[in-house]
Amino acid sequence: MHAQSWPAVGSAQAASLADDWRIFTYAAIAVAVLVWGLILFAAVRFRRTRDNPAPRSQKDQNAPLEIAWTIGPLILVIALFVVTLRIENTVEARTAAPAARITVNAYRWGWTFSYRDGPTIDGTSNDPPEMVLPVGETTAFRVTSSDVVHSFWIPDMLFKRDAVPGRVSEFDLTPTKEGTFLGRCGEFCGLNHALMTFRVRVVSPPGYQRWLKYEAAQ
Amino acid sequence: MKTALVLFISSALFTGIIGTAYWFVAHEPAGTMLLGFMTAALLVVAAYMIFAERDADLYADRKDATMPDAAGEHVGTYVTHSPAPFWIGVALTGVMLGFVVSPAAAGVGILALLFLGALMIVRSR
Amino acid sequence: MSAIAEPRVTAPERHDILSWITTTDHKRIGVLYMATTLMFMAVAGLLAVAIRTQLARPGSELISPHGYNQIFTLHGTAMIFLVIAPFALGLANYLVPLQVGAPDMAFPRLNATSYWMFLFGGLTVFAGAASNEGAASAGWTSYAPLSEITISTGLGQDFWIVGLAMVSVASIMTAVNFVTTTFIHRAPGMTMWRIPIFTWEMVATSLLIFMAFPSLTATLLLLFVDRRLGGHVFDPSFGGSPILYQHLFWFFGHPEVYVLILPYFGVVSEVISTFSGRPLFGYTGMVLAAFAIAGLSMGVWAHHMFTTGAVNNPFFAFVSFLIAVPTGIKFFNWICTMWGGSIRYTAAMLYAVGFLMNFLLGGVTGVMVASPPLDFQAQDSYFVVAHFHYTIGGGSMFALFAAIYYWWPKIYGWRLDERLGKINFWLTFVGFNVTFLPMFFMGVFGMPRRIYTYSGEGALPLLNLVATAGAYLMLLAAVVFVANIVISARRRDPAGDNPWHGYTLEWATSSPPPEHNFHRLPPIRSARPLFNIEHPEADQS
Repeated sequence: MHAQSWPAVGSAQAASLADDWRIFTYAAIAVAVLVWGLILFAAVRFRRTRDNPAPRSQKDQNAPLEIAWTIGPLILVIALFVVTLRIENTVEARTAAPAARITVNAYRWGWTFSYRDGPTIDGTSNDPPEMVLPVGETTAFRVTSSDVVHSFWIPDMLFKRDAVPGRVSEFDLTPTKEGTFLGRCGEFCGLNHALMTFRVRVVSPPGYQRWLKYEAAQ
Repeated sequence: MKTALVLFISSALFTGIIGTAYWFVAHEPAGTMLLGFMTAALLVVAAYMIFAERDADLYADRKDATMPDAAGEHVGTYVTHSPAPFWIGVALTGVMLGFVVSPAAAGVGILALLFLGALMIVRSR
Repeated sequence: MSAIAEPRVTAPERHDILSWITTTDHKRIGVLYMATTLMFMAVAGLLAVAIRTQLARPGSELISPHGYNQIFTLHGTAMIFLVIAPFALGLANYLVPLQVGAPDMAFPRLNATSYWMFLFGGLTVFAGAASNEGAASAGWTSYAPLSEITISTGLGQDFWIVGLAMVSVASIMTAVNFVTTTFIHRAPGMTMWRIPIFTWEMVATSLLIFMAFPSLTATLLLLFVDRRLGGHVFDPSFGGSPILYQHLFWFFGHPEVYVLILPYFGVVSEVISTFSGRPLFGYTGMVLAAFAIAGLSMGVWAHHMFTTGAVNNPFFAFVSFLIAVPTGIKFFNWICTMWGGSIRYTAAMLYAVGFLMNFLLGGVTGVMVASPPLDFQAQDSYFVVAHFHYTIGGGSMFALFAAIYYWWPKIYGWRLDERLGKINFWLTFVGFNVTFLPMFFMGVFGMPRRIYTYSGEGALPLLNLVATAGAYLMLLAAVVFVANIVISARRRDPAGDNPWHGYTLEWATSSPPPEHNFHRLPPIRSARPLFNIEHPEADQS
């Protein structure tokens, strides 16, 4: 099972989320390299030495410069906001006809996955529950909790949604890679928070149908 | 004092605008109420400054004031010690622990407060 | 011009323990605050070493799950409420009256009361460790329903609530004191636009405390009502709302982190300016940026709730992105202050430059997590842990040490050893980055926060081991720091009034200052009164 290293980016939503990661990481690195560069340059170039015994001037204002470094970053963050908004809308889009519907109930310390037209799977840390999903098709999720706030997190899909008691939260996931992925609880929930894992096994659509039939026969 | 007033009014304006925008964007009551109370609280301070401090003229605000300008005869005596703060701390702790642990702790707190009161009465004689 | 009467000292300064317990002198209260916070920092730091030791290897059984939950709860609670914030309040207590030319704070007895409430409140939080089920263990954020009585059944949580309520009220009282002192008790000629940048940052911090801490006090009270007085405010089985808890908590919680940084922005500004030999560049812009940050920070709280699906993510993302602009302004102003200067690298200046390097990374990763789609992975993972440690640890804590090295000679009249100070800096800087840089990757790789162990697959074991090594380096740095204090205390190398050649008013009096602060104040004609004395021909403002 793929776990605890570079995310597999195993869903359509994750592909958009990975775009967000890429854009923001490049922007962060660019800004950081520029500003670190300026800091280090100033820190080294203007050290007190025999050639630089005293400050060159006591000038402490430059209105055009100050305006420029206000407007520049403002434009940058507005651009980043537009990018963010577009990606979030893409990721949170819902489909009218999902291939499957699963209700997830988190509790201390395990998970129950109730398929609307399928089995109910339950498990705790000793025997983590395994959810089976068809690749290339969209599954609609409804997430809630029966005690404290938990969070339904699949790192390889770059996505989590909090499981809040008294609330039902809905989203879609469209897996794009077959395999078994680790799921975790992403909100501190007490003693066994660290062990509250689950599995997501993504299979081909025929494999998914076979699994449904197998579960129905149990 | 003008700077201080500008500070409170612009803060109130800011939270007022954000709170209004928040209501229309999110329709979420908790955050809107919090921002609304914030705006009101800042306006209370601003109102005080306008009505009660409008004639304030501090030597501090005059660009060319000198120390002798503000000097006078006996301006006041600075208090450098007081037993009250420590005992208030002890008393309040007792009361708060009373909520958690037992009324006995609150009793200790109240006794400390009474001791403090007595001490202050004796000292002021 | 009439002569000024010399202040009449009616009693000599006392040095016995009782005089410290009953003091209302802002300088002593400042020292009490700072010394107390350093004690809490030692404890919270050891708790962090325990955390890192437990996480060095997967499946480690050094610390039990319940013990671990108490440890990280106390670590976070102490570092935020009992170390970083009150150290700044203590430093400001010491400095603000000196910087504005006042003999004390506006309300000296209220000032002292705040200190004792802070001390007893902090001790109360820790006292929970001795209670029936140990200390609070629901995290420093103490989310409901986890912190409700049905789940957190022990008294430790109640000790936490009550202790923090006292600290919260004490902070509000201190903020009132700062604002009043700064508005009313400035010396003649010290207009608002001539006060030092540190004092301006404290005004902004105090405004934030007014606006944010009442929400904390209310949230603590409501949680207590739920736990002990039969309430169901946050209990969904009776119609209460866990989301409401998060709104109320984070409405306080986010401004709180700006309370944790703004004073330290002020420290860095003062230190960089003095050791570059140049005035702070863009003083007006720095002041406006401080208030822009403070104001905007009131409107971003639910970026801590992006993954709940219960809040309007775009609104909070937008305002969170905006905060990067005034923060960037400050960075550029600091760089321009150094530019063209003649920089002396004392321990304080090294820590200030270290602050710039670290906080930059904290800041840009903050813009990253302000993007909800990115936050869907990063929230509650080690990515966020890395982000906030870079800002609070690499930022505030580094500036805290800069402040100690910078103002120690003023407070005590003798210097800390500079060579040990530089060794301390490099150990801290290297150790800090070795600890927290890997955590960005740990988060992306799927490691949640607040877990006492993890499995041995993938990259996590190696990354965690590296992080733990860094923590031990920082422990060594702390030992060097303590050794510095002990060795320098024996040597007592006299510092003089103005060892660093600073230009603000605190350097215009003796080290340590007399009880009433100034025997004689210089004329105040600009933001750098001592510079004007040195250079009478220069421009005044």
